[in-house]
Amino acid sequence: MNEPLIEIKDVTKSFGPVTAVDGVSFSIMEGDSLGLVGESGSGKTTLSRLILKLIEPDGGRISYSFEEKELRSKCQIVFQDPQTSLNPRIRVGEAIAEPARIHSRPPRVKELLEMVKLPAEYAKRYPHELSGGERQRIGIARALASNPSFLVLDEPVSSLDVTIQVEILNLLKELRQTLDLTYLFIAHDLSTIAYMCDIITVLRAGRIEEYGPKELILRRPKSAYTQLLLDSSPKF
Amino acid sequence: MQSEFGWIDWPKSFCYSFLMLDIKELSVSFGNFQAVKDVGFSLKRGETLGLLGESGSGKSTVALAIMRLISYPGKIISGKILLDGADLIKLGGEEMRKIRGAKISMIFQDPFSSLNPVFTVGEQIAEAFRYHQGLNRVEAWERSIEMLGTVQIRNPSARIHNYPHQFSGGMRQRVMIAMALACNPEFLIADEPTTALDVTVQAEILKLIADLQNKFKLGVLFITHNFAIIKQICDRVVVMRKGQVMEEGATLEVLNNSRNAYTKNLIESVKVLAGE
Ligand SMILES: Nc1ncnc2c1ncn2[C@@H]1O[C@H](COP(=O)(O)OP(=O)(O)OP(=O)(O)O)[C@@H](O)[C@H]1O
Ligand SMILES: Nc1ncnc2c1ncn2[C@@H]1O[C@H](COP(=O)(O)OP(=O)(O)OP(=O)(O)O)[C@@H](O)[C@H]1O
Ligand SMILES: [Mg+2]
Ligand SMILES: [Mg+2]
Repeated sequence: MNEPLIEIKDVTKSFGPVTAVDGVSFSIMEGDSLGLVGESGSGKTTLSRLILKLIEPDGGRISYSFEEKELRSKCQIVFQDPQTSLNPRIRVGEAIAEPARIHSRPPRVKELLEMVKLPAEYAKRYPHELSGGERQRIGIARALASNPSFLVLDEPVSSLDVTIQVEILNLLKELRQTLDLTYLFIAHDLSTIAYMCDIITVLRAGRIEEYGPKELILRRPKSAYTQLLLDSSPKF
Repeated sequence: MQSEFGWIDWPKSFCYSFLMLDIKELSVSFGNFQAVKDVGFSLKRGETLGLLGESGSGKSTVALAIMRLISYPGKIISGKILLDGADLIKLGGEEMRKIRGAKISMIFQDPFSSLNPVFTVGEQIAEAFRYHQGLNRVEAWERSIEMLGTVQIRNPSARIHNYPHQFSGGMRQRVMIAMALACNPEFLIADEPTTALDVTVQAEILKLIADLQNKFKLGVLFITHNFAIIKQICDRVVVMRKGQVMEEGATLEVLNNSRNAYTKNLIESVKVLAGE
């Protein structure tokens, strides 16, 4: 515990004239649940793709406490947009079984579907035969299939209804405990982040606006943007 | 392409007396599975109706049925969808195509699959302005840039040349909103339109919809699981579960005094997340 699992140093990434990530440095400690918040377009998804080496940085360095060849099995992602990550011609049961098979583990389709509260018959369905929320749950099941130790969760619950949001968040919390997982949890609302994370990073226009333990950031936000997010969190 | 009442500033209460959408005993099935069962509700001109309910309860299916976009093996098996008195279910493909976009437009739940990957975002928004508002190329392009700015995309005159995959998740969702509003509809269906947006941008989008509503007496069917949004913008709510309407009523009445166990459970979950 408390060894850095991933260290990010001065990482920069531009797409043409748009600088999506602009000199970002921080560490993800083993066992942490790190929350990444920031407005739409601030570079959250780009940063997570850099961390997973799905794209290469223009500058800076990302180092891992494990061999880089282990990256594909150790690190998994739940994509923001389930539609883009699920092949429309593959039944969801296959989609869930595939990562386990690649890492030569027995697929546990039924168990995984149960974990995300879907009936076992859903394995036979194609993605277009699911509701928006159901598709997202398939994405979560698939990410869990290869027994990863690090998970990037890119807005995994924002398209789900609240009862299931809470169920899935509780499930993710539980899994983190039992499987010793490390999370990078991306969201645009602070209540979800506060519920899930110990450390919060606030990103703005590709840069870190603030970074620190949850209690501190929630109680004494330094930036006006964080304050704004806090003020507008839904209250009952 | 405004409504017959759109250009007169009727008092809101008066407009409320016009039933715009009236759904009666609507049932939709996918093969053997009945996703929507005997659903009925109505909506008045200028009104915002919230459609709430657990994942898989049939909300998007109802919305797609109104648009007549249920595709095989899905089928509307019974019911009526009256829009200004005309039953949409009885319309032919061509008639329906005219209504879609002109009278009704929809912001889809899934922004990526509903944007065309081979056209720039500018081309897609401008197309809506040209086709539905009859603007010429130059006007349509200028209005598209303006609209991108309105949905809070920074540097819109440069970003308008981007393709959808060059936009972030929330930015794509905003392009969908821009396209739906460019059609200048009388009735808007918004299926979870702000799930990928942070509260600051979300507030701007809700304001934009409210403005249009005041100006054009737009009727809005707003599908969301976000109680804060429901409270803020919906006059009434319909709660669905397992394809059926569980309850319907004035927003505050349902949120504060629901006797329905399911609705109460939904509300409790929100409180858990809000840390109460
Ligand atoms: N492949 C790409 N080509 C061009 N620009 C890109 C590409 N990917 C991302 N960008 C741009 O980089 C910026 C950051 O995008 P990113 O997807 O990281 O934002 P985000 O914080 O995840 O936003 P959201 O909350 O809306 O998902 C945006 O301006 C986006 O348009
Ligand atoms: N093409 C299809 N074929 C078979 N079943 C389908 C199809 N489309 C939807 N369904 C099923 O119909 C039910 C209702 O789906 P719908 O998309 O209307 O739900 P929803 O209320 O919008 O849920 P969410 O909040 O998750 O978007 C779900 O159980 C779904 O699996
Ligand atoms: Mg993103
Ligand atoms: Mg839906």
